[in-house]
Amino acid sequence: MRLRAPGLALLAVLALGAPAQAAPRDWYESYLDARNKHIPAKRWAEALVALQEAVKVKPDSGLDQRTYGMEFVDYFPYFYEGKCHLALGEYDSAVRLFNIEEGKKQIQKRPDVFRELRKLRADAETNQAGVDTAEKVKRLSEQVARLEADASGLHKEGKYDEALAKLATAQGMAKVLDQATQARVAERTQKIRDDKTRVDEARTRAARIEKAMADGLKLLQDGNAGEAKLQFEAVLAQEPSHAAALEGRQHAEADILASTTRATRDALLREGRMLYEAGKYEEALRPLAEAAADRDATEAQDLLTKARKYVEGIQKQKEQRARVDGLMSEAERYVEQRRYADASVQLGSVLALEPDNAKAKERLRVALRLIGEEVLDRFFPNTPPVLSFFLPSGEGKVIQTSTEGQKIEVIGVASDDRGLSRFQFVQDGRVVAEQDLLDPQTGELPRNHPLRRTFDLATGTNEIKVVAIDSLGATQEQAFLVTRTLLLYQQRWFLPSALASSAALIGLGYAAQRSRRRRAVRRRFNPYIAGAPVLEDDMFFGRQKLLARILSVLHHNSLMITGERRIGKTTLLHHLRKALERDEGTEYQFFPVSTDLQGVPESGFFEAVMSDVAEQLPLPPETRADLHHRPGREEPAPYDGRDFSHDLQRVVQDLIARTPRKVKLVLLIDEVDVLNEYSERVNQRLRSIFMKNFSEHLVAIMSGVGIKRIWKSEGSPWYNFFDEIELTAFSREEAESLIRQPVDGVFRWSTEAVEAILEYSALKPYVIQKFCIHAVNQMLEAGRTTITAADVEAVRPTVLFERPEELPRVPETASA
Amino acid sequence: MAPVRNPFIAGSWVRGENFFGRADILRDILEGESDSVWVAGARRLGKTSLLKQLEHRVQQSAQTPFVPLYWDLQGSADARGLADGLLGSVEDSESFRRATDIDIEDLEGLSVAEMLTTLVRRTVRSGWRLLLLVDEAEEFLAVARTDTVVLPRLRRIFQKGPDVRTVLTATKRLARIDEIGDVDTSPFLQGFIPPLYLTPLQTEEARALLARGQFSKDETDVVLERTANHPFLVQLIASRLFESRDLGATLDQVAADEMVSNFFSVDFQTLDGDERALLEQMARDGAHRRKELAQAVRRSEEAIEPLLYGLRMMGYLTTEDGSYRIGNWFFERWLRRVVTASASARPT
Repeated sequence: MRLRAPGLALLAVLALGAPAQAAPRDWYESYLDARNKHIPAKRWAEALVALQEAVKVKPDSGLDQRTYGMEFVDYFPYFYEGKCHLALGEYDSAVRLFNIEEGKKQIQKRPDVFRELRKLRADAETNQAGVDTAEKVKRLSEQVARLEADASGLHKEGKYDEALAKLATAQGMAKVLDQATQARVAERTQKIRDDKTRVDEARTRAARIEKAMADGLKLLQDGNAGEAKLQFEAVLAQEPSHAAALEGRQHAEADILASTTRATRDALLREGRMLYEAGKYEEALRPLAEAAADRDATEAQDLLTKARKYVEGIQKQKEQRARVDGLMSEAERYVEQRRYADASVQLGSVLALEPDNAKAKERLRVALRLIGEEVLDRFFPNTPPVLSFFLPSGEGKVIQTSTEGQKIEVIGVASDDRGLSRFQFVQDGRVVAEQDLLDPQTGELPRNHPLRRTFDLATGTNEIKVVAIDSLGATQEQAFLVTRTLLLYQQRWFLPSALASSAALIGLGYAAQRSRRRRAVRRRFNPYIAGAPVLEDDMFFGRQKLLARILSVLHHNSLMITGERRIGKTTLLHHLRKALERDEGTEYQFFPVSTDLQGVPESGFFEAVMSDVAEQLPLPPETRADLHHRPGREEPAPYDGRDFSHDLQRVVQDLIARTPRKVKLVLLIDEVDVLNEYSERVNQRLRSIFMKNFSEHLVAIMSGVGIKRIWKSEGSPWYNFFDEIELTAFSREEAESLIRQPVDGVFRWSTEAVEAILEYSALKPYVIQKFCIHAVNQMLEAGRTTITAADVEAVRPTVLFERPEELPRVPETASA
Repeated sequence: MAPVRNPFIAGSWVRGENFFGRADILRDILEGESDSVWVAGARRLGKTSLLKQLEHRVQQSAQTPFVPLYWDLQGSADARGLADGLLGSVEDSESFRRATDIDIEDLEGLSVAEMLTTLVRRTVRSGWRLLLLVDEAEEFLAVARTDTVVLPRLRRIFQKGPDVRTVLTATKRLARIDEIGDVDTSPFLQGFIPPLYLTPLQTEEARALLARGQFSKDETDVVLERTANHPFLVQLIASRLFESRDLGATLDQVAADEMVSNFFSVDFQTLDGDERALLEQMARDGAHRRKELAQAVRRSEEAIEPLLYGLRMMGYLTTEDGSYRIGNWFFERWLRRVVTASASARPT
């Protein structure tokens, strides 16, 4: 035993020491290191190592997993691994890991994170598609280069048509590639075509000369000197120094002179002139040629030259017409045989002869498009359109939803690689509408297009289908099963039971009101508010229409709300914020942020607004880590407009990722008169934020007494991007509601009392509230439950004393 | 219940489905031969929206040789400010950064000319041409007053031939830039002149815009007639009419609106003295023939011809049977008030 003790002690020491060196770290240490340290610092590789360590120890994902002490975290290691791979550009791996995380079926219980996963996975898939595309593009580039090399060889061999056919195919392929390749192929095509035109013309000319010479010589031999001379003239028109033609003409003229007299030649001149003047140029040639045999017969020679030019011109046109017709029919034949490259060569030749030939231009466009489509089909086979829906949202072939409404709005977006041709909207198996998507101005089909349609619903189940069709006829559809349920009052049993209940309630209500009044007097009930902003919904009066108006324009417009002090601007902004937070079920999701500029110096303006954004929006840590704004930290450089722009852009990106609805970050900026004290530059910087592209997701509602409109700078006034709304006093009805409703069912207002307040207050809400507070107190002092005109008159001096500048001047008779 | 959304946009820039018309000028810029384009237009005529639409069109097009970059100069004031603004533009455009494979870090600390040169070089290296969309180009006037070196450098880059196509938008005030600075260098606007004028919308374009409000034909006709298709006025009136459905009240309200008066006032100040004098003359005495106008402002007919042309193109005035009159009803009302007020303020 004694011997064993030191051995055990040693073992114990080893046993204690060994785990301290070799035991794996707890899963959460690695996981939290990756999630909270490495990933925010963009150390992707280190994060992956840590996550893999965590997975080795704990392979299953889970919610609220206990770490140390009483700390719990959600454990989604594969999600974060996927994120790291995505950042590293390893898209395949990213998709695989996101799929594993989804397969663990835990992340779905955290909708925000799951939404992020789906978005990131879509990004990874898109990027992977991009990688695939890049490979295809590389192959395509190689093929184009090969075709160009082939064409170059054929060009050298003088096989112009074959070379051009190769280049036409290359041109079709290059359409998918970069501009430089397209330009290079086009340039090479033009060069070969120019060579071909030159060679063709030389060949045609040589053939024409050869034929005319042969005809001329034969005619000369046959004794037909006049006709022979015409043939030699034709040769000389092509080639003025052609020796044989010059000699032939000399012979012919000598023959003519020998066989005619001057009188005969004069008669021939007269005949030729007559025919020329009658426009019979071809018939005039023969007599004029003979008359012009005499070197002195200048008129005959002139007329002969002119007539020959006409005849040659006509002949040339005829020949060209015949050639064009031949080329066109050949091109059509090639198109029928789907030999688009050969067809384009023929059509190119037509255009070399007749650059304005509209039909050839159009057919060439078609041929090139078909070459391009063939290439595209080979490398990028057509895929059906992709449909995504925001409303009703959901996944799967059939999205199921239910509603109490009589209509349902379907909102989404469709995209397609070749262009979307049209949408079909089908309800209960019947096409109820079609939308043609061709842009009549550009003649193009959109690649992305929003979808929006409202369907009337029958009670029960409604089958709705949206079909997107692309330019090649490929279709994609999404079905919805919408169940419409009836509202309570639409049920059959509602009316009788409601009548019975009402009778009972009236009795109870009367008793309750009496008791309520007694209690209110006892407790000195006074709900009116003057001075502070009105935050309670039930005390918010008179601005509902304005609120609705603002809500109706806010999705597209920034607004400046101006109005005198205490007219209710801050109150309005507060309720606007609430309305925006409640604004569910529309295509927009608003994220309001309130800022008060009172006391904010120019140097701290952008930081002050950003502080409120960062405080009021629940931004995830990774977004916060990306912001230039660091609360509480001393930065060497001041936070400026550029930082603000950067941070807003980042916040907007984050908000967009959270919802399929259109995002609007709404800056509600109060006490904006402070901007009047700032330099124009800061104001211009603010405007420049609203010129950025991300500002499509940004609106500002500013409120203040007024904006200084003196503008000296060259540029646009900074306040130009606002529409302005002036907050004025209440209407009579609104003012009366504010007076009566807060105490409705508790106290009574006499008509005279209400009229007096309406008159004395000039319908300004703050003054009305002040009158009401004091008048109610006056009534309570007297132990009454009705407010009278005498109460109002009694408090008037007090209200006047407290805010004399806000009270209108009242005629003496008014207080009588 | 979902609120009824007002489809009109008064003040903010628009693009895509919210952008109407301008097909000709878009085509001229994108498909024309010139690589230096100045689009001159009055305030609120849609210059920023035109640039945003160009950017959008090019980004959506599969066939384009261009990569667009929108650069707003407002508030830049000097060379450093220009550099900051350009950096901000690159930061704002993820698609540009992606297409040219450029990082913000590559540009930090560079002068504006170096930055622009880098952007052009990287764009060309990536197989594209740079479509530089410069908004609020009047800011160059402020820059020219503080720095005589930077503008000639920028001009050289702007006119770098096919690698870069530069589109400037500004009011006519930009023309004054060549009166400032060094006479030895080439004029800044050389190559950008003559400008393309941004006119009011065509009637059919304005009608298409108004169709969003489902107004009656009579209402639409009155709005078109009163605004002479000025896009801001059309949007503003349509937006208010959409809310009130009372055309008479809307027209009165807009005519009396302080914001609208201020817009006319600021816009009017961008014109030259002679241009203002011509318009004031028309506001005082109604429609005029060219000869009468020339006499009234003591200039020759030839001298006022280019002024009248520019004013007509920008919608300040219109012609009818050879007579010139103020472009739209609202502007005319405002200018008449101004002219009357200044006449009565003059000592007798």
